[in-house]
Amino acid sequence: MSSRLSLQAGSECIIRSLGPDKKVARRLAQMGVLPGSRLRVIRLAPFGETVEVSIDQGQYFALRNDEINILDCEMVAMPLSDKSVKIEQYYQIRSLSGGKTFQQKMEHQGISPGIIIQIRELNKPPILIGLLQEKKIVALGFGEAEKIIIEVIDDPPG
Amino acid sequence: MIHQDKEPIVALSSIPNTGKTTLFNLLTGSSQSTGNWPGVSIEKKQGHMRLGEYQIQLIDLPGAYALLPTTEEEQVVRNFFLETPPDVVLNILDARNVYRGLGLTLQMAMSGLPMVVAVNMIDEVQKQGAELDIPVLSEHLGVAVIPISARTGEGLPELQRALYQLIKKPAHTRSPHISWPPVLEEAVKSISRKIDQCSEFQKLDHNFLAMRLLEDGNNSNIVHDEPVAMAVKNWRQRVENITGSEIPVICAKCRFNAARGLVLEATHQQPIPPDARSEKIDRILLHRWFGLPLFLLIMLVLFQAIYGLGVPLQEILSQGFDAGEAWLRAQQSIATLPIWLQSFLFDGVWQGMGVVTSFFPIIALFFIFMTIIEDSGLWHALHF
Repeated sequence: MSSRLSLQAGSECIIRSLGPDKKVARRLAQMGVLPGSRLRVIRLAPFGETVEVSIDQGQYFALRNDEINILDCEMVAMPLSDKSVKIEQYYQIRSLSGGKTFQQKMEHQGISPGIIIQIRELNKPPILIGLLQEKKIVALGFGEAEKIIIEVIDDPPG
Repeated sequence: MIHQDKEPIVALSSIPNTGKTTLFNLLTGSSQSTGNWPGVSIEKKQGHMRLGEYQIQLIDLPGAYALLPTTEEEQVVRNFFLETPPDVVLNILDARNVYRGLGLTLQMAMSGLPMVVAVNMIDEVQKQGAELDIPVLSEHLGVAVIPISARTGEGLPELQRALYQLIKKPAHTRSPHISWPPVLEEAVKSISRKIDQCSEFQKLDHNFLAMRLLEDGNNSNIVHDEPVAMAVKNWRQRVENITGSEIPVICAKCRFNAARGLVLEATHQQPIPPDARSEKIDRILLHRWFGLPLFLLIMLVLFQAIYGLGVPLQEILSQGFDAGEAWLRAQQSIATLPIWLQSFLFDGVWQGMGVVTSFFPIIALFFIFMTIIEDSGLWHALHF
C-alpha cells in the first residue's frame, strides 16, 4: 500500500522510496531522510507551501509541498478524512488536533485518543464511525474528520 | 611530526548550524559574527591559534551535509578538502542530534585525514537529562571525541589538548566500518588500485578518493588520469545497473545506516526534541493563522517604539542645534565674516549636520531592536 503523506499536522508515514526527482532524493538522502524513515507532519506554514516535518531520529525539517508529494510513503497515521482510509477497517485514534472546544466536543461524544473505531460510512457525508467499546455510532462532518488523526491497526480486535 | 617550517592547518567542518563559528571564535579569540540560522558562513574564514609550540592556522569552512556538493557552500568545502587537504580535521557534531551530523563525519573519517570530533552543545543535552556515550562514539569512529560547549567554553582545554596531540603525532584515521553493496565495494577497490598507480595523492585515502569519484562522476578535476577516469565511468554504470538506484543515494543510505546503529548504541535515551521551551514558543509564533499577524504586530510595536522613543530625542537634539546656532551667530568673530560664508556655514554645514544627527536616534534604536529580533531567531522563523 503506497500513497502520499497527507498534509495534516499529526499525520505520519514510513518512506518507501524517495521519489523520481534525483536532486531532491539526493538531498534528502544526504540529510539522513531515507527509505525506512518515519516522517511526521508537525505543522503547516501559513499558506501551506512549506511543511515542518520530523523524522524518527528526532530532527526537524521544513520541506516544500511538492517535495513531500513525490515521496512514496506508507501511511501510519492520518486524518480520518484521508483518501487511504477504508470502509469497514478498524483504526485507533491517535490525537485530536484543533482547539480545546473541538476536543471537548469530541470527548463528549466518546471520541478521545486511544479508542478504537470502525469506519461505517465514508463516501457521502456524514461520516459514520462505530466506537468499539461503547458500541455506538457517531456521525461526523468532513471538517471534524479532518482534525481527527487515526492510526492503522493491523489486527481487528476481538 | 608535522614540519615546523609550515603552519599546520586545522579545518573546522560540520553540517550547518552546529556552532562552528562560535567554536572558531572561541579557539582563535576573534569575533566573527555568528548567526542562528544556517548558511552564515558561506566563505571559508581563517584565523590563528597557538597550541604549545605550534602556531596553527584554523579554517572555518561553511556548513555542508556531504562532500558531494549541491549548494555553493558545499562546493567550497569539497574543493578545499580534495585540492588542499588540511593537516587535521576538526569535525563538530550537535549533541542534540548526532544522527544528522554523522553522515558527514563518517565521510570525513573515510578520508584518512587525522581527525578530532567535538560534540557541541553537550550542556543542553545534559540539561534535558539525556546521556551521550562519548567513549562508544570514540571507539567506533576511531578518533578522539570531545564533549564541549562552545557557548560556555566547557571542554575547551580537552579539545585543545586533543588537537595538540594530533598535530604533534599525526595519526591517520582508519576508515569506519560501513557495509556497502558488494558491487560498490568491488568498484571502490578496483578504482583505488588504479589511483595507487598514479602517485599524485599522498594525503587522502585512495578508497576515499575512489568513492568520491564514483559519487561525483562528472567532476574529473580530482584525478586527471585517463585510465582512472575510464574505470570510474564503467563502474558507475555497472553499480547503478545492478543496484537500480543512484550512487549518491546508495552511499548516503549506507552511511546513515551505520550512523543509526552508532546513535542507538551511544544514546541512552530516546532522541530528544530540540528544545521543549522553543517548541512551545514556536507553537505560538508559528501558528498557522496567528503566526503572521503576530509577526506583523511585533513589527508594528517595534516601529511604534522606535518613533515613540526616537521623536522626543530628535526634538531635544534639534533644539540643541538651534540653540547652538543662535549662540554661534552671536559670536563676534563669526558675525564679521562675509554674508555668503555665514550662510554657507549656518544654512549649509550646521543645518546639514543637524538634519543628519536628528536621524541618529531613530536609526540607532532601529538597530538595537533589530539586533534583539535577530538574536531571538524570529527572523529565521519568518522564512518558514
